[in-house]
Formats: sequence, C-alpha cells, structure tokens
Amino acid sequence: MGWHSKAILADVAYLRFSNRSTHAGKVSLNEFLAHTLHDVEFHPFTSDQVRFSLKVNLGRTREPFARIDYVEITSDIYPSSYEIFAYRPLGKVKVRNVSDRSIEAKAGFYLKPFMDGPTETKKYLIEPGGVVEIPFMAVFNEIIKTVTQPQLRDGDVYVIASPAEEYDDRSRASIRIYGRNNWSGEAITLRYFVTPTDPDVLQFTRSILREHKDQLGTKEAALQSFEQAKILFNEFAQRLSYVNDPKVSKDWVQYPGETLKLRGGDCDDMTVCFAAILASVGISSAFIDVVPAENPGDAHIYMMFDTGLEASKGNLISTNRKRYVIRRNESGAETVWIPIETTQITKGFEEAWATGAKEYLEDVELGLGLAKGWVRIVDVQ
Amino acid sequence: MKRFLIILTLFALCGLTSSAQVVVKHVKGLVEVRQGVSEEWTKLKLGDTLSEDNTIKVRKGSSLTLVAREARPIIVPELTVLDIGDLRNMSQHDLLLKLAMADVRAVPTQERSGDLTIPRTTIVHGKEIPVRTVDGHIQKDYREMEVRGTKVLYDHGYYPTCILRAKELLQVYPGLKDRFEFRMMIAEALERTKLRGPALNEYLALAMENLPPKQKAKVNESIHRLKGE
Repeated sequence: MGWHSKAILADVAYLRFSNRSTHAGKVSLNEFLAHTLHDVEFHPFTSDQVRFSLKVNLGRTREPFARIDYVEITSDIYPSSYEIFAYRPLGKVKVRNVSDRSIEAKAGFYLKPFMDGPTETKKYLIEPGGVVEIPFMAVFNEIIKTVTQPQLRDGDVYVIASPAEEYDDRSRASIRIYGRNNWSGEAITLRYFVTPTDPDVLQFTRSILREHKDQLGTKEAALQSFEQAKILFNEFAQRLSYVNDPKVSKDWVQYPGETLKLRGGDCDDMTVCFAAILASVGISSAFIDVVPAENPGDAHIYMMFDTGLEASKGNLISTNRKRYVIRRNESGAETVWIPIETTQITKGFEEAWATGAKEYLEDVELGLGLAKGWVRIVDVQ
Repeated sequence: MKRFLIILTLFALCGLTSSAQVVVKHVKGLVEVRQGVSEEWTKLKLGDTLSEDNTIKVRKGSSLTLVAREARPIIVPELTVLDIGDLRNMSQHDLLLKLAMADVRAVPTQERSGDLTIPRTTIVHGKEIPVRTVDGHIQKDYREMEVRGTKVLYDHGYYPTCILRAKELLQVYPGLKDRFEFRMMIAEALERTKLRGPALNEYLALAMENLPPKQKAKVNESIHRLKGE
C-alpha cells in the first residue's frame, strides 16, 4: 500500500510466510546452525513482519522544455563544396515546446571530427505545445577534404531551450559524406573544384608565362589577358591529353593539381583545370552549363573567359561578333568574353574557340537557351 | 482521306517555308559572305543560298538583292554588313526575352569585403589613332557598315531584330549614343513592335539629351503621341 506526491513517497507492507514450520520463529539453535544462509534479510528462518518506508526528495527535478520530434538531413556532403553548408542548411530539426510557457529554442549540430565545434542556430520562439522546424548549418574544417570514399556518419543534433542546461533534447542523424573528388553534377558546385592557389597550378602558369615573356611584350596592353589565355591554353593542350570517359566524368572530378600531375582528364577535369589556370593569373571565367529541355541526357559544360577588353575594342580580336560574348561586369563596363570548348583541347586554342563560339551561338543566341532557362552561366568567383 | 492529304500538304508547306533559306537574286560589284563563327570572307555569287548563321558584307559601289521567306525582296545597299539570321520575324515575347538576356548574361554582383580595390583605368594621351580591326578594316568604317545593316532591317520591317542589333551596336560602339537618327530608329522600331513602355523610355531618354530644336520637337511629338494613346 503506498502514497506519493511530487516530493514524498510512502509505502506500508505486511510480509507473512506461508511455510509456517521454519518461519514461525520456533526453530532450535542446532537446526538453525545446520543451514547455510545465502541472504541475510530473507532466509528460511525470517519471521513475518510489517515494513514502513518513506522517501522524501529534498532537491528539484526538472522536466525539459523542448523535445525533438524528428531530424531530417536535406543534403549530402560533398567535400569539394563543404563551405556552402556554412550558409545553406544541411538539415532541419522539428522541435516541440513541451512546457506550459513560451520558450526560445535553438538547434545545434556537431559532426566529429569534421567540425571544430558545434554550430548553433538563432533562437526561435515556440508557444506552449507549438512545433517549429529549425534549419541548421554546419561549419566544417579541412579534415573533411581528406575523405576519399563515400561514407555514412552519425552527427549529433540537439535542441537548447533552457539557458542553464547543456541541452534539452538530443538526437543522432546519419549523414552521407562523399569522397573529395565526387561531384553532385550541378554546374554551380563545379566551381568549388577550381583551386587557383594550388602550388602546381601556380608553377604551371608562372613557368609558361616566363617562357613567353618576350612574345607577350610585343602585344598591345589591351590584349594582354587574351594573349596570356591563348598561350596558356596552347601549352595546356600540348602538355595534357583529353580522355573521353563519360561514365567517370558524371560524378568524379579531378582537382587542377591532380589533372596537371596526371597530365590529362575528361571534359569536366579539363574545364576546371583551365579555369584555375586562368584564375591564377587574374583572368575571370565562367562555366556555360547546357541542359537541353527535350534531352537532358545531352547535358554539357563548356566555358568562357573575360579578356578584360572593352566591348568597343572587340574588333581587335575578331570582326565576327558571333565569336565572342559581351558581358557587363560589376562596375557596369561591358567586356569581351571568349567561349572555349575544352574538349577540343588537342586541336589548340583557335579550334577550341571556334567550337565554343559556335555552341554559344546555337545555344544562347539562336536557341535562346539562356533566356528560356536551359542554359546557365556560372561564374567562377 | 482527302482531308488528311490536305493537312499533310499544309504541314509540308509550313516546314518548307520555315526552313527555306535566303536566296541571292541579284549581285552588283563585290559582295562577300562569312559562315558562322569563321573569320574568312568569300565572294558571293548569284543564286547562292544563305543560311541563318551567315553574314554578308557589301563593298563600296556594290549592291545585293535577296529573296527571303517573304515575297518582298530585300535590297542591301553598298557598304553594309548584315546578318542573315536577322531577316526573320520574332514574336514580342522572344524579343523581350532577348532584351532581358543582357541582364541575365551580366556578371553577378559580388559582396565586397573592406579590402582596397584598385580600379582599372586607361588614360589616352595624344591624338586618336584610327583603330584597325583584326582583319584590317578601319573600325569606324566597319561600324558604319553595321549601322547601315540595322537600317536595312528597319526599312524591311524586321523591327525586333533591328532593335536587338542596334542595341548590340550601342554596347560595342558607345559613341552611337550621340547619333540622333540611330536612336530615333530604335525608339520607332520599339513603337512599331507595340512595346509602348520601352519606346516611351527611349524617347524620354532622347528628350534628356541636348538636342537642336527641330529634333527636340520631333521627340516631344512622339512622346505626346505615345502618352495620348
């Protein structure tokens, strides 16, 4: 028989043994000594008894204010573009206010050893009984770039609503982390493979431009970027070879340093590598991502670069305006950009330019792909 | 069955009309053609057919007559550069899309940090030297040939492509901004394409310029006409 309140627990119990021969308290000493006792409290000679117990909790017990209903990971992690999760949600957590007053809750996320510390979201006001979905970000460290093969990892997601507590509720969520060379297939993330400060890239560009110093010295100042790009492309074409491997190219991209070391790559590798080479000498470039609406399987990426030449001087490069693109830059100036088809690398700059320009003419100018949304220009910034 | 054959014939005719090329009906003097993105010009002959990626250049003292999809022949005068792809009608929707493309194509604005940025500045000293194009033309002459090309488009009623080409020339040759007739042509072409707002904007921009009284009156008349509609 018992009774309890928040802090007190009281119990009364009566114990009576059915075996009256030994438990009645009439056993002789010799009989008692002949037995080995295994339990001091309950043994064959324990007599009937009434027990009272009273438990009083003098401290305070705290119920959590918030509970996690569920966690959803909305994106896989590609190490090449790990920075994007610092401002784009990696997932969301559904948080419920289980208290009887309004709370301010925030979510946290931590994935060891790829983060130096947990990231926390801003505070969200939740009414009693209310539910809020909180998107959370993740700031990864460089260790994530050492992942070579896809793997599944558990990350900690927790919710904090009480200022004095470490957390109110906690959950684990499985996250897929791809290898450092894996690519999601989106042109917008391809730019993260462009690493112009890679020592191999810097060495490549510096040594080539040094070799052609005299040749560049004879060119007009306005045409310097164009001439540099032309020289770099032709040297790039001579030293590297294009490997057509669509099966691999779909989700695997080499970093520029790797392409230079391996002396070759496929369409994406070459495009990324040449963009990095150009960026290393301060020439801006952009990827032209073509996904034909009627046949997405024919998706293709080529590129263009900024000659820095004013639109009014485009005729210094070509009188055929179909060979270049005029783009307005941040300061409002119109400059000449040259489309390049990097798969034509073995044929040299002129052919790669002619093919790139033809593709741009058909895709953008005649096909209106840019305006209709099946062509995208992704600036490598 | 008879109805089916009629429909089939109509479809065949439509296909023929839309894919028909431009034919050279008359050539006087030296007229050259350039294919697609090639840099090379070759001589054009009577009876040649031209495709939409061709560009023609009519030299001094020469002229050319073309027959496009429509029955009306296109007469191209001397010293003109014209894109064959511009000899087409375009819906207002496609024109607006093309006009919007300049913004879509632009380099997106980046967030700037507090770092010091050094602007790229060019200072020109001395007398202006005539700039030559990569194929040896004096740039100014080539510009005039292209401007005449837009006039041909306007005169033959290809207003959307006239607008697009003229706007492109304004990008390439900013000095054309000061040419009253050229800018009036753009505004009038917009008006004829029934793009009242953009046409009015063009006229209003022109009215802001320091124009002689006669030109000012012409622009104001157009503004009143558009506002009165």
